[in-house]
Amino acid sequence: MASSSSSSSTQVKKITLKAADGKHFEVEEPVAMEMETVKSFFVGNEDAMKDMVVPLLNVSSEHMPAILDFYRNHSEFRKRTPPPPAEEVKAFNEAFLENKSDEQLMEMIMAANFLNTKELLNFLTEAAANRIKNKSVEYVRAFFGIENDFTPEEEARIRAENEWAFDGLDED
Amino acid sequence: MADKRNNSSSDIISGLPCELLCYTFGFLPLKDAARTSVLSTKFQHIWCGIDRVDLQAISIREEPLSLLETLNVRHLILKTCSHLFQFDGICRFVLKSCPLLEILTINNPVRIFPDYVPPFELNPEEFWTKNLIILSCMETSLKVVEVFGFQGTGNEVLMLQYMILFESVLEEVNLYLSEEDDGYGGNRENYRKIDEWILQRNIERASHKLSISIYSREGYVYEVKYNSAAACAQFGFQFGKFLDESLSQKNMAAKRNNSSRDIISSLSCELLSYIFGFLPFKEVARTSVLSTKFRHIWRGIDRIDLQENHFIQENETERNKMNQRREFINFAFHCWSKKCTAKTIYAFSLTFSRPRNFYVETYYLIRFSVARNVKALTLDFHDPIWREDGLENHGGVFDLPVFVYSYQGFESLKLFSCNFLASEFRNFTALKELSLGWIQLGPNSVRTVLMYCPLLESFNLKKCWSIHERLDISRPNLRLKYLVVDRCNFLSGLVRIQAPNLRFFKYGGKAARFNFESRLTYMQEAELDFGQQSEFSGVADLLYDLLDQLFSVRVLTVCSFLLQVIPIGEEPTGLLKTLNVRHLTLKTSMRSFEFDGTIFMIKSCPLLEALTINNLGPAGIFPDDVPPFELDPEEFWTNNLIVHRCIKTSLKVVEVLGFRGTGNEILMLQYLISFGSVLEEVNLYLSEEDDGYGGNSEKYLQIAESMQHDIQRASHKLRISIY
Repeated sequence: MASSSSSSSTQVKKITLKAADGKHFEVEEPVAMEMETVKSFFVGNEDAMKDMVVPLLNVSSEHMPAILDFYRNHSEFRKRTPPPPAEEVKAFNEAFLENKSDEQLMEMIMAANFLNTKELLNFLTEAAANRIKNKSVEYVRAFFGIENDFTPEEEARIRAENEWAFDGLDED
Repeated sequence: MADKRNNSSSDIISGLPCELLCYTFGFLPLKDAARTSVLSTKFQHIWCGIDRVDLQAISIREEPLSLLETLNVRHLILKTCSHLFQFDGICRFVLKSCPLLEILTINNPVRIFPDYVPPFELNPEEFWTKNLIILSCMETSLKVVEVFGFQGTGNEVLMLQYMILFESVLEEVNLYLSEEDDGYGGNRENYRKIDEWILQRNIERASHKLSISIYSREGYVYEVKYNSAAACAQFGFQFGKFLDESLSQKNMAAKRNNSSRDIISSLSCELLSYIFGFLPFKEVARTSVLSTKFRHIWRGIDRIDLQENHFIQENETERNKMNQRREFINFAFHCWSKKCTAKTIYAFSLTFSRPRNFYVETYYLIRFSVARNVKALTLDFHDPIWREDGLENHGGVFDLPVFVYSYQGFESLKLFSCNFLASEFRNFTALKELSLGWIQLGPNSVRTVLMYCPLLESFNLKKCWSIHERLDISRPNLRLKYLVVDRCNFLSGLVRIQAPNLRFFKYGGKAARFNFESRLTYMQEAELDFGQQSEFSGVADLLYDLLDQLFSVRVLTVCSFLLQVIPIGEEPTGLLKTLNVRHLTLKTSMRSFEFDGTIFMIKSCPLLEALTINNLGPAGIFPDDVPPFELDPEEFWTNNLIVHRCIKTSLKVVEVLGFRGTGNEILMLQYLISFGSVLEEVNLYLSEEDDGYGGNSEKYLQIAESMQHDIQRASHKLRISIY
């Protein structure tokens, strides 16, 4: 990655990303390259760099700043030697998730999936899993906004199939 | 024939036709007949044609399990009627005696003599599924299985199932349908239904290259569509889903239209199963009742954690537990692994305390995970009734199957109470994490493992024991970062570690002599617990030595034993070097005989920023511990006390976990608070336990609150919080 250019010259290459709702974001090249989807846009196509606007169809502009912030911080964590203490990374991650509603989290997961970044996707999906850990079925339905379309008999049958899994829950 | 006789004129019987030879050999005991295979190339296969009588008889001979020598046979022809009293002979004897077997032909039409009395009765289903041995030819050489006169009887099918399941290099199974009616209404049409059976049962193939073909007399070839078990399962899954959906569509059409605001319906199944992969397995199972869409999504997760304790109640009788165990393994085997839709699995974990009683299932589950390119495999066979602090040593109860050693994809491996061969670890070069537990380590096995796994970063030994040697963790350029040695038992009590990149070190168990042979430049954190040690004498010096070697750690946790012992050594005033510790955790019971050690540790850490006191309460003390000396706590904390450097200059946070408000706790806090001039936070986490003298969490809270107000503070910024 072109990390050297960012330190030596003041002219950091910027790439323009266009969110789903048409808003433009100027992003430093190394950060943009964290996204596999963006990277694949340029690989083997060096001319495309100039004033190319990369459309990101599934990412709304609401989440772009947060996502870019995540990339910037984590790529910095990775470059640092010695590696930053676990608490610092943890603190950043916790702050990142604070004030994010369940719905926003879901939207960001979809964005991360589209951008094809393993690190962000792992992080967000794990966070989602943590939010439904040891919760009742009803809670999880509410979390994902799922309409229960089983008949009561069907549901009872499936519950009986995996009876072992339904005891020892937390309160919602 | 004349030519031949000229070439080997001394060879009288070589001129006889094969059938005749075979007939002749039929009068020999099978063992002798088998030996004829090495007579010459021509004889190599002849003995295989001998008739069934010996095959039946062989299983009841004196040495039914094997021949003394193995045979060189590559192609074995069995004339059998697949009757159950031949199974023992086929499986245990013949296959076992031919480790190089490449082709197995089963010639079916032979009829048994009606007056033949089977020597013993046997349940065929049980025979082919329980307690089976996986023979070496099945894993390494057997490529083709042919059945002539296939009739699709239960016995044939069971035997075939066994072979498909466990023969990992099998390439072809050819079934030649019988032309005869079997007298019970069976005919060619019925026999051919085998393909449906294979699809129905969805037998997992051990081999990727396997193709199954069915031939009838007209030469009609039918290849069973069996490209991949996963695809097959996928098909079953999709079909099931389709059925489910079309059924419920009738009932639910109206309802479904309303659920358009379902956020997650826009997430793809892969993404959902990815999220579910982070959940404990039990909760993943619960997602099947969320809605029809979620019915099967959980079968696609790639982190699988099968634990028997989800099925087994603690306080059941052993008999009921056995039934629950059966239920568990049935779930794992039939309901889970057969229906799993994930094509690759990231992590597979099996926690099961009686693998021997369910050998085939266990073996199969391991196979299942390896066939799906598992990266992190956990096999935990230790019995939960074994006590971690017990002194007895436990060994492995299950042998790691041989095929596992040829798999190269492991990044993480955890083997508890599972026997393994360190010398076979040579394929595990990608391994980064290794945990071994509840096992006897053979001579040099640790060294061998480290040698074969150059990328190892995390190494964990728990309840391991060895009668041979000291623990020797040393390889030049070892990448090891995390090392945990927990309650292991090595005869010499010597631990030698050469790991220049070590960052985290945890030791639990008896005090040992530690020898770190390289400078621990990157060492960040150490945790020491000598709770198992019962003797005091001579240990203090060992501990000095260890602390001296760990000078560079920033986070240190020490146990009550260390606090008790360290002040009675020969140099009770301090270490040679000071420690670099910023965060010190003391696991203590806050008794007066630990105070000297506490002060010792505070003195040795001039840069200390955070002090955590983990108050274990009276439970942390062994009842038979005799305090080495008596001490008046009040006097200790108020008179003639030196205020050490870290308290005045760096200590910012003090935490007490399990605060009980005892006199000793308060005295010590008083000391820290009244001299800690840069102290910013004191956090008291109240204990949940009653102390047995009428104290409970309410009373603890009272004491803590009164302390919050009364205590004299040296620092202005101090905040005392109670949790």
